Amino acid sequence: MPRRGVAVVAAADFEPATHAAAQAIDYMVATLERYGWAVEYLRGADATPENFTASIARWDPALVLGEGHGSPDVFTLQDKRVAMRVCSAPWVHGRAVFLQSCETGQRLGRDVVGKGALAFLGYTRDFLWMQADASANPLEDRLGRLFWEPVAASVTLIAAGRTLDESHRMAYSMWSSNLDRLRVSLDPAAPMAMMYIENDRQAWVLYGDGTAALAERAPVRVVEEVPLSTIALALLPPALLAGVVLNAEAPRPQGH
Amino acid sequence: MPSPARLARILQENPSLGELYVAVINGRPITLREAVEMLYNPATRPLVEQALLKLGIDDPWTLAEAYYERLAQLYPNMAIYSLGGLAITVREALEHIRARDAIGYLLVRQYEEILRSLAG
Repeated sequence: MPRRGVAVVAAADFEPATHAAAQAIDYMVATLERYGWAVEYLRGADATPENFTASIARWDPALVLGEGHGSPDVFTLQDKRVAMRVCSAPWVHGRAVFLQSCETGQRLGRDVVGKGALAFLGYTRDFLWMQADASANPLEDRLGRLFWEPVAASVTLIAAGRTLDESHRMAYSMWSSNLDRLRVSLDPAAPMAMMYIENDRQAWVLYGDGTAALAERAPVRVVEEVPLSTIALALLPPALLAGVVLNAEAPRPQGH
Repeated sequence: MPSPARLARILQENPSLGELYVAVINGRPITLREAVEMLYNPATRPLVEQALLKLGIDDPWTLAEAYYERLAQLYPNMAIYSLGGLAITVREALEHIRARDAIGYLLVRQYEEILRSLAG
């Protein structure tokens, strides 16, 4: 039985896109740890397929989070080495698999749920984003954060013991809110950013048991500044407002 | 061709779209905002109407190049990434468009999609 409050996270970092993405994953790992999760984090050169499967076997995590390049049938890690492919991931049983990757939601995601994974979160198309500064952490970039804060927020809700449905809906809601903001912006980059955010939002999928939660429920603190459009959109249970990802407090440690 | 009233309404509801290049008039790419202004000027209206007949779909390379050139001037360090293998700056995107290579073709197709959404 996979262990609640335990995660194996693997992040490729070998070229500009994965380098930027890995910085965002760093933040998500820190968030999980702030919520008392035990996290085995494989980054860059350590994010090999061998280390990935060995860590899953050793840690027996409820959550497997991977960042790397992908295609409909395949998820890759460092140097595009194949870590998962359709019909060859026996370790998925009972776990939630979250792949921050392109296109794996087309077939690989459905396959892992069909093989017994608790759930899958990911994308059916390319995950596209823009950054005003190519070298920045996307979560700290004025454009990049519009794409990545929703992803980080979904991980925050998972960390805080919310259901996978809530996690999925939060990201969708935040992308919608960001589209509303961009629609009235006079920034010349806004139309392109809107197109890419809409792409990511439409590609974002959850398969399997959305009612599952992977940890004990913990408080999520709302930050002082919350965009009004987000409040208007977030007709959700209390504390599920945008911006929590930036200031979520660490609750008491999880028992696991 | 979208009516002037419709274009004006699109611009009013989506100010950000005003920055898109939508037509070429006398060899110069113009933005949606400029196009709407010209439509309401009797002296320039016929020119714009003619150019908007296909909302620039017949010349997407010129319009996309103008858009990326503007982005590259304003934001030289801006980048476009994907976790499917794309990692380029807007300067590099502009070069791909000018080279009319495979990546340039993809970028222009993306730009065409935005224009088609305006055409309705």
